[in-house]
Amino acid sequence: MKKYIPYIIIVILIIVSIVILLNLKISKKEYKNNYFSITYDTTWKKVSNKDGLLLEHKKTKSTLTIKTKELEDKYFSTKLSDRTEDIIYSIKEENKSYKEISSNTNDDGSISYLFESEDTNTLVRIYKQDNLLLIAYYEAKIEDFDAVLDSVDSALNTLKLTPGIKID
Amino acid sequence: MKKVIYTIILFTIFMITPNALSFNIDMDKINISSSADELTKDLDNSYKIDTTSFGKKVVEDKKAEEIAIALTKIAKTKNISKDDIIDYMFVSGGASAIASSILVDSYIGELNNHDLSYDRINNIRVIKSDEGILTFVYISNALVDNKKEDIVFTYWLKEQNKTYKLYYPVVNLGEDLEAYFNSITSVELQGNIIGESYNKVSLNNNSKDDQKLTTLFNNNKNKVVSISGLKDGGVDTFGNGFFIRKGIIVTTWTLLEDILNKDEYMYVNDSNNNTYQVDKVIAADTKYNVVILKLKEEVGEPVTLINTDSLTKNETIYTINSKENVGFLINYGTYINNNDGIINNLLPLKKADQGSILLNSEGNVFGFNTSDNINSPESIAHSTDYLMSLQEKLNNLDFSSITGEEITNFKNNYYVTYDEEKKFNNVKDNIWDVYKKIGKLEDTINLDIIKKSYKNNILTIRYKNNYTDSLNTLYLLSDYIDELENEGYKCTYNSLNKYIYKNDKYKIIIKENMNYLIIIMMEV
Repeated sequence: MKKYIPYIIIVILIIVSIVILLNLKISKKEYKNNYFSITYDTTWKKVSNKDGLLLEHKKTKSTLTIKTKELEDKYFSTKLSDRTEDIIYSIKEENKSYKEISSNTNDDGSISYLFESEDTNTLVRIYKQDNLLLIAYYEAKIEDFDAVLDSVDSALNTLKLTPGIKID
Repeated sequence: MKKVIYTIILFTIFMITPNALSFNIDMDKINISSSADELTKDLDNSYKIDTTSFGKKVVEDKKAEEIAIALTKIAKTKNISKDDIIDYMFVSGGASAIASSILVDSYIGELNNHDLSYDRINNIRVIKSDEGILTFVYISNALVDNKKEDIVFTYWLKEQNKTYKLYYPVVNLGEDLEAYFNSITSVELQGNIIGESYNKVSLNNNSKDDQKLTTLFNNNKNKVVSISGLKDGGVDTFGNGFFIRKGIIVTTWTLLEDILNKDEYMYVNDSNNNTYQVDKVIAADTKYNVVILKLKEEVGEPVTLINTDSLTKNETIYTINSKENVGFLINYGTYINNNDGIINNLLPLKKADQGSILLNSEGNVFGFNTSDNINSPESIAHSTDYLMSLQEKLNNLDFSSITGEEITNFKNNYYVTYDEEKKFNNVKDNIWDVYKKIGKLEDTINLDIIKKSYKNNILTIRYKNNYTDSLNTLYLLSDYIDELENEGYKCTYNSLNKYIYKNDKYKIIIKENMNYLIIIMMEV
């Protein structure tokens, strides 16, 4: 048995090396449902696609969640900027231990809000196209937030909302 | 052995401990008019508008929607012919079938004049009337002759042998509606008062009678107002309204909310160009999309309200409004139906038309326009039936005794205030001493550091840009970038809000996000 031990160790080392190399290589993955599509890098893993998409950052355990809601038809032409105060009010009601510290309108028309709790930061980005409302929120520990933010921004830059009915 | 057991126990506890991150958004709890409900709950209940029966009926017709989808798929066929839609056509004998055949020919001719490309329907609206089913299919950003344009298909369906058949199809290109709006806008800008109807989709022959339009306008011009929101010294938001009593005006809640949201000051103009200040909010109903405002002066002429039930199908209806906040003009269209206070009309509207009156040919008001369906051949108004009892109540009160919430209080409660941001720093001095030398950042970046973190061999620094409204954050970095380049760093990526610099030892990501400058430094 002893004579096989070096071979077993070598095999284990090769497997471990392959696993490490595969993890080091950052590639892209795409997620698509009836309402949106997004491409994210493989530093994230998909945890759930129930009610949207939940990604977890492998190293820091930060999360990126994307959820959608179909609004009543009467909001079809409503501009997002005319309704964000109402939307953010609902969000704050649900997350009372978080402070709203900043907001910004982005070049793509989405609106971002930054929240802070005792030890986390959360970026909430709100999108609207036709009667589809999409909210993406990224939460990380304060020490991780800025380091992972670039990967979050890269993913959100690929986000495409696909409201309505697909026809061939 | 004990050590191993402790390790396993600790590892298990670590694994099963719930993630400390707990921000959550339940989309079912997102209320798109939540702050409105909070704002209006303290208003005086004695002016409450009873809208219990308003908008209860949900109009859906899956069969009509399926036909509309099928026809829309066929409409982009190259060299389309009648054979392509023969299965959907209204074919029985008689004048109706002949008329339908002519209308379909015209529709096919127009489709063949253009190259249409789209792969998604953005919305379908079904309106039932005594004349059949009107379905409106909305396509945003279609390619029309290789140019991005919106398309609205209108399919008038009639029941035949227990199924719907296509009686009258119309394709409305974005340019058709734009031409209509440009035409009536120029009327207003030239100081004239007579507009027109959008004739591309019509259920009757809305002939233009200038004398009748002039009379209707003159009899009602003192009953309407334009409402404006001022920001940075200029008009930013505007819409329309009307007098329900002397000194009391009605407009849409959404217009008031836009003004509260974006603007610093609001005022009201009548058609004689008098300007009035808004004093109080008397009543509001967000579902019915209405707000009743008291002016500081008891001025204006109240409208005469009539019950919507008195309207007849395909009746010509009129609206008096200000589209450009310059003057007022009268336009007209066709009434289709009324579903529990939600009135559907063939009357294209723009956002600024919200709050304007809808009149019958006698000059009586039965509804007010909303911005629920704009830039379309059809539009949505709300019936004024629900305002009749409030009008009676207000007429019986002395102006000075009509109470309400001060508009300034309303405005103050609307605005969001931001909390103070926490400063964070977990970077040890010896680490900071190494990284701060790169680009001499303490000397070259003159912004406040809000967060400084070092973890997993990555240093991140978040600066707050307090000049944000006037200056892009990355413009404030020129000294830092010059210094990096002096130190031999090469720019390997450059976009509007992100740079990456590298040398043999370090990689530096510089990015702007939400008025923050973020610098991420790591060893290569």
